[in-house]
Amino acid sequence: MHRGGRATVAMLGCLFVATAFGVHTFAQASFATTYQTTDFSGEWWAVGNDVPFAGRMPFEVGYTAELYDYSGLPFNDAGRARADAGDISDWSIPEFVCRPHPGPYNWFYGGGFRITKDIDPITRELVAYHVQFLRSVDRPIYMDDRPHPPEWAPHTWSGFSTGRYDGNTLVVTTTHIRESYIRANSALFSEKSKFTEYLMLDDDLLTVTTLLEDPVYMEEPHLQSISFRRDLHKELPYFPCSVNVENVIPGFPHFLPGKNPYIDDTAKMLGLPREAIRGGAETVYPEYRKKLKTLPRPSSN
Amino acid sequence: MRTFVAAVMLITASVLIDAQRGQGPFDAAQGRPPAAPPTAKAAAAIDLTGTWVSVIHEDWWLRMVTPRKGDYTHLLLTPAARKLADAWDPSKDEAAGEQCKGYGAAAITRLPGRLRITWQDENTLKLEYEAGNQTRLFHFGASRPAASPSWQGVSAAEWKYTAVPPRSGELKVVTNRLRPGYLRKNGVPYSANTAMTEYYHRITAPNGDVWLTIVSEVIDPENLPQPFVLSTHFKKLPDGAAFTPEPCSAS
Repeated sequence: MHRGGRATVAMLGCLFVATAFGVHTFAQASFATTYQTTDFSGEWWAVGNDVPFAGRMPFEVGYTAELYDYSGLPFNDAGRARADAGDISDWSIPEFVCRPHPGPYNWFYGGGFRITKDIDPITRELVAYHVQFLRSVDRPIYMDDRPHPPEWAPHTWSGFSTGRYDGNTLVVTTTHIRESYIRANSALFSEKSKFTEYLMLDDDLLTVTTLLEDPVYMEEPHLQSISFRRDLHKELPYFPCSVNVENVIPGFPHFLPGKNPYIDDTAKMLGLPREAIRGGAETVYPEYRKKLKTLPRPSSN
Repeated sequence: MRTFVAAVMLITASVLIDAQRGQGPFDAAQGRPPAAPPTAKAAAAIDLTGTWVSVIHEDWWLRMVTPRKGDYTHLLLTPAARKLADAWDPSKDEAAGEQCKGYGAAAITRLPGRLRITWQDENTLKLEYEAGNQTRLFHFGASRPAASPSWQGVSAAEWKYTAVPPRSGELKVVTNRLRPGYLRKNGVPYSANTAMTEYYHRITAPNGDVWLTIVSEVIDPENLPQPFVLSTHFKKLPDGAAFTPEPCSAS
């Protein structure tokens, strides 16, 4: 091969190497990932909440609960006793007036929320999602595989949350959460609780399923779900909570065991047996309907 | 000239190599559909088969008993729907042989009982409910049976897959051609023009329990001024679990 031919071959060889392994450097890079990811960020608004709600009274739309209604909760005796001792007027003491809703309950309060992505500016990896509700503190959901703190670490209203993808579902594990309410009454979960939340996107619907495991107050896990729609035209508003001393009774509002006069009010209002409203794992399965028919109904007020 | 042609060929080859790496304009993940699966059963994104039991953690007092007449909790109704619901008379339904009006597709998932899911054939998923001894058929693919309106209507199903392997996902089902029924057993109506979209999710709890979360959206402009969205939970039972169908009841 003459000199010119060798030069041409060498040039072509260099060109091949450069183009084969270098063209993509200058081309439009693909955003496709080799791992599963789904984007849950945005402003979300609860489906069915575009109307005012004033409690779970008949004829109303809403997600709050009647006082001392534990129906559907797999409560054990400790859970019932703890909830019976509660007095909803505890919201009036200065320490609780601005109490944030507990993280995993906040989905069910109604209204909307914002999810933002916390992206590492250099690696562009998803470090965390941040969830903000109207009445909440910022709730990070860490996506970077960091471990949960040791058991003795401080417990907070939001708890400590980590997330991972399971297929299209974002699975969030929350520990280190303070004792707080699972319903908008005095039904509580304990600080030993562990929440697993499943965020699922179906077309324009986001459904959140929360699974509560509470070894102190529950006989078995409890599940509930709620759905939201992404709203491109809403913003989470500022919520400046001010502490006003509204409590007119000294001490912490509560009822001593056996002294709560309101325990049976919901059963009477709904015309359902008292025992059923008290919850328990047995009550949440279809077979319980047979027993239900044999239980005495309360006389209404 | 030969040099120019060779250079063009080399550039073309390099672009093809680049595409095979999943980085170029022919990115498989972005544009190239996967090969058509042979059957819906073989291509299932998730395994829904087995026997499941409804666990009534939500709306207990609306589901474990027939809600009282006039209790429309969580529902926004049109005036026409409210008028119909206010006139609910279960004895009339029984007398007319219409006791299954509260067991139609738009309502049955919310009723207590077990759900048994099997493959009827390679492209049809069968859902049997203890509640009302009802059966729904989910048809995959283009073919739909020509049928007159019924309590369970006609359901078209499709798998929704994850974007990347391993294959997983959800089931989406659209149901219409429904016979008018009750969204709730206490006479809240839905019309023959109702369309329902459902999404079936299989989730695994930390304790190993397997759950089915069914998200449903019912659209019925005659009776519902806005879509009615609910999610309902079933827990997987061991193989061979009892399954005892119950007849429809109007009250």
